[in-house]
Amino acid sequence: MKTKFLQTGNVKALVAGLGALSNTSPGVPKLSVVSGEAGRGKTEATLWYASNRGARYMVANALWGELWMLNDLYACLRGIKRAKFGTKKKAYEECKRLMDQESLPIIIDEADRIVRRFTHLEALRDLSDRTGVPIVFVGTEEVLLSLQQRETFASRISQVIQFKPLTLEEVQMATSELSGLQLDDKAGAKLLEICGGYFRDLVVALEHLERAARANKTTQPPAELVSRVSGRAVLRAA
Amino acid sequence: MSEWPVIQRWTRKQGRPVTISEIAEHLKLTHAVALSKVVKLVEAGELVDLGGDQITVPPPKRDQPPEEAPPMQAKIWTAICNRDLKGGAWTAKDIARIAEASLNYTQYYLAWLRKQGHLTAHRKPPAPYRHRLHPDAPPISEPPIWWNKRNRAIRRRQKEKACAAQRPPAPRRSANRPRQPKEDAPMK
Repeated sequence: MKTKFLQTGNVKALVAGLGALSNTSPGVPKLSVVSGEAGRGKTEATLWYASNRGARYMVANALWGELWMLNDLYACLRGIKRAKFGTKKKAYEECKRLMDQESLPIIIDEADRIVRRFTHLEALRDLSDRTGVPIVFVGTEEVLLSLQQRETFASRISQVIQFKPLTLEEVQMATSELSGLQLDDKAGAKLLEICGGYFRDLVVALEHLERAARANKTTQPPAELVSRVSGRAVLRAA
Repeated sequence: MSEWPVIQRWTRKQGRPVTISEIAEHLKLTHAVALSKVVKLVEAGELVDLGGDQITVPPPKRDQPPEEAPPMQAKIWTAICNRDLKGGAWTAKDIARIAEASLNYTQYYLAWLRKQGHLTAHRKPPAPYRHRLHPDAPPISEPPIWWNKRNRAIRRRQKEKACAAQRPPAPRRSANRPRQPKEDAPMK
């Protein structure tokens, strides 16, 4: 398998969405949600975006209290390992001061862990409103539903980026780019059916398919081989 | 490359400023020729004119480590720190993919980071190393700078070779001109 980051439709949508979010005029709300089922490639895409396009990346913790979250946010903004503010007021003011100085979007992964906590969300919304720094919540469909249920949030979400299932063309492109194999439409459709449009399953399937294709000395595995090898691989991984 | 490294070498060896007359005397040149060579070397920055007929060599250029990490290392380090936040161990392939860096370069950088103690790693051969960030590793804003002296030396040599290749070639012998027959080696 080659080490290549694929520009799928979801990644392009993410780049376009976050790019538009950064360029919105002041006064326009700058909250965004990246949602999709587990295994669609959200985390990988956001990590890639943070490393290559410039964004702050943090992961929500299941045990986050308000002070802990603000300390982590401050550490993320400063690029340090940890912050140790003793009071929420101090931590909030320092976060606000840093966010005033820069405009890189803040990506909060695993946002499912905080969408049920009112004060966390309000604090983040408040910081975003006051400083104009975009905040991106990344998580499953539940994130979007929970945020849309809150009136204060629903009107402030300016971008919703849904990570959709892979298409046949994307499966064929991924196969060609990552493993150098060419799939015809039938084999591609079979692989798409097996992986269910999930990128994580596709990578597992491709790893096995590549090995099987090498053993069979072919670069165009037929649908039968795809079905036999990839199906077993995805089942095993599941 | 200087055309007359011998002048520099000799001047450096003296350990003191020298005069043009001394250079001419040592290298058995006329004063005018020595002066012309020294002027060219001073213009090229290979020698330093202290004034008052005192010539010396410039202080040795030590290869200093860069103050800022090269962009690719900064990118890889950002990817490492962000990926580590997510939890779980990761491989060089994961980081190379996220940072869009060459796998080879990432592996070398990670090996260096392991050696420096910034990463903890374990593996069961033939599986690749699985890494985690060490708790005492520097933060995301201070990427450790891998200063690869050997690569720098190789790049410098390649640059010199490229410069040498750009010089006009030496005049070739005319095809019409008959070659001088070689003298036969004496029979033993």
